Amino acid sequence: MRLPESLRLRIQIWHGLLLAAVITGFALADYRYQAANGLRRLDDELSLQVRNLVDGLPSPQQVPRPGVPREFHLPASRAAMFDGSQPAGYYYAVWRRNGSLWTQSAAAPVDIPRPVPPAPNESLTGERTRGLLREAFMFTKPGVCLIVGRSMDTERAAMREYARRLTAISSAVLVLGLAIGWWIATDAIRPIGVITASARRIARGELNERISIREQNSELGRLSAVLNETFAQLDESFARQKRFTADAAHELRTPVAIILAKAQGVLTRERDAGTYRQTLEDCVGAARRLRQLTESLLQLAAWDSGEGALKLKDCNLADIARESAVLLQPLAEERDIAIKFELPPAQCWADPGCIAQVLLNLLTNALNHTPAKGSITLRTWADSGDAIFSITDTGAGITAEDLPRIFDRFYRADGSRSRNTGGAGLGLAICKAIADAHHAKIEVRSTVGSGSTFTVRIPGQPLSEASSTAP
Amino acid sequence: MRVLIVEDEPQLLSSLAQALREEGYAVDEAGDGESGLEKAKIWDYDAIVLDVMLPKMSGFVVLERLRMRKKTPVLMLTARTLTRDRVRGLDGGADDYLAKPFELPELLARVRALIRRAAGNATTALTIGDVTVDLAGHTVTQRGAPVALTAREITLIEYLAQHRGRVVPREQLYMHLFDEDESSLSNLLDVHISNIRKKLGHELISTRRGLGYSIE
Repeated sequence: MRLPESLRLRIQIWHGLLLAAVITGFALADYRYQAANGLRRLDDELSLQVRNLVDGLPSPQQVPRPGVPREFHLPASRAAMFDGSQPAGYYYAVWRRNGSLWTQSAAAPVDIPRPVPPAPNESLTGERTRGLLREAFMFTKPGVCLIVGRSMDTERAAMREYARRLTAISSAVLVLGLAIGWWIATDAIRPIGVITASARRIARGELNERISIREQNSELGRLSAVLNETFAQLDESFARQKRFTADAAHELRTPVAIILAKAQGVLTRERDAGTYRQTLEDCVGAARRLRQLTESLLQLAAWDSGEGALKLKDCNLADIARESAVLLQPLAEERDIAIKFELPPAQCWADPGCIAQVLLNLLTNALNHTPAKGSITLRTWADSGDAIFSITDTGAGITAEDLPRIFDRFYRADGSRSRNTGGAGLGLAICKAIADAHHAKIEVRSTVGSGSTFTVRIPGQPLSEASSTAP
Repeated sequence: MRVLIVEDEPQLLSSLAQALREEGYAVDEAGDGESGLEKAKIWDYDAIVLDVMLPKMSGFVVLERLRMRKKTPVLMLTARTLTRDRVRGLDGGADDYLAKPFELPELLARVRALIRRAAGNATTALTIGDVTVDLAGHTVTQRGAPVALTAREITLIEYLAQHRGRVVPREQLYMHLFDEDESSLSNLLDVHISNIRKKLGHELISTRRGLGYSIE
């Protein structure tokens, strides 16, 4: 048989079956115990009557006289117990040693069979059930058999009544148990309903919706916490994506706006050749900015989608650093900024082209933010298996407010925006993406007024399989 | 007509200023929100072109602070085209909204419309006797024939025509016709007035000694 799919119904069915089995078991055991008890009481009663009956036997001291039969005689008070006048309705029968019926009470049924006698000179007591009658018997040592019995009607009626009450109570307990079980099951799965409703709203696009259930420490409470965390991360990543798209659109629109305004402005009337030339140069500048921006965006997209494949190999960080610095030497001289080197060898496991790009980006940044007569210090060193380079400038530094956000895409410290030195604010984001792909750490420390230090720590060895699968 | 442009992108700022000057406007420039707000508070501009993403103080903040004191018409300019941003700008007191990249002729038309509406004119043509001033086309005709005037001369006529019947003080004319770099050339206004009188006749603009000029 297939169980229904509903969790609540399934819990309820199992719970109901178990409860019914337990209650039935208890009721049956109790009934049997009560029945046995009743029988034992009846037997005790009958045994007592048997012993009373013994009084009716002629005394053993009485010398039997020949020819005179020994008489069985009950005192009248005792005899009254057996004549059918009492509600208890006892009867008795007595057999002689030879098995012949000695005497029996008036209320005794006919043809009571004599119980099987024991070995000679032994006494025996016992009980037996004949049909609806219960009888207790006794063999005296001389071999006389006495039996007392009565109908079990009252006991049977009492047990029937008891069974009825037991059934009624059991049914009531079962119904109550089922009701409580249903309530518990409903209460236990109520959070599932809450979770379902919340998840549905989130699926509809209400991304700031969260599951709120009271019991935080239950299994479902913990599940909700995990789900909420997941939803928050999704929400955050959607928001980041949205912001990124909006920023990208803004950055792409500005150069287009410049080109349009310049060109349309100059086309309103005839101009001299110099004006046309200047306008074209400005348009070329804006177009170059567009090109650089689209390239940066594509590069970031490649890193994001994991397509920015690295050609990792063992290389000397000092060599890469020296080559990068040499490339920027002319620009540094032009701006009257000194680049100092401290480049002891440091082996790293990296893509030299990509690391060179990080170095060039950071060095260009440093050049852009260092005033004339300033200096930039480029260092490499090896430390506990990693290769590290640092770039220290003597520029204006970065405010504590900007510091945590400078690796964010399109983030530009206000100053660098107005000074128009920065590009679109993607350079550091690209450095961060490249560093992440290398499992390298990029850090920045800065003091406003005295300069900044960017530090990149690159692993010296290929990472083990397990950790290199991480994104 | 005097216009302020607040835009942090130097290239865009210069070409916008150039285009508006060629239209006969006196143009002041500001490269960030703070200096933009300063200028907007000091001078009574006829219109302000305000970028949203500005260093130091965003365009929204500039607008909010400006609106505490002045009703200068503002055209918001932004690369953000989210409806939310447009609504925020317009609710914050902007009179019009234009998304980057924009078409230059459209921007010029919107600036003209802002100034015209602020002066209380719904139509673009003003007639003074036999002279007609076309605010949209930036042209002046006399008895149906176009008159060759410089952009600055046309702007001067437009300004007086939009304040028709009132005597406009020389200081006000200076403030609205010349930008902050040329304000000191005090006889420039007299030169323009006399040129206009030569071309359109003496009776168009009347002089109130010691008070200013007016078009009746």
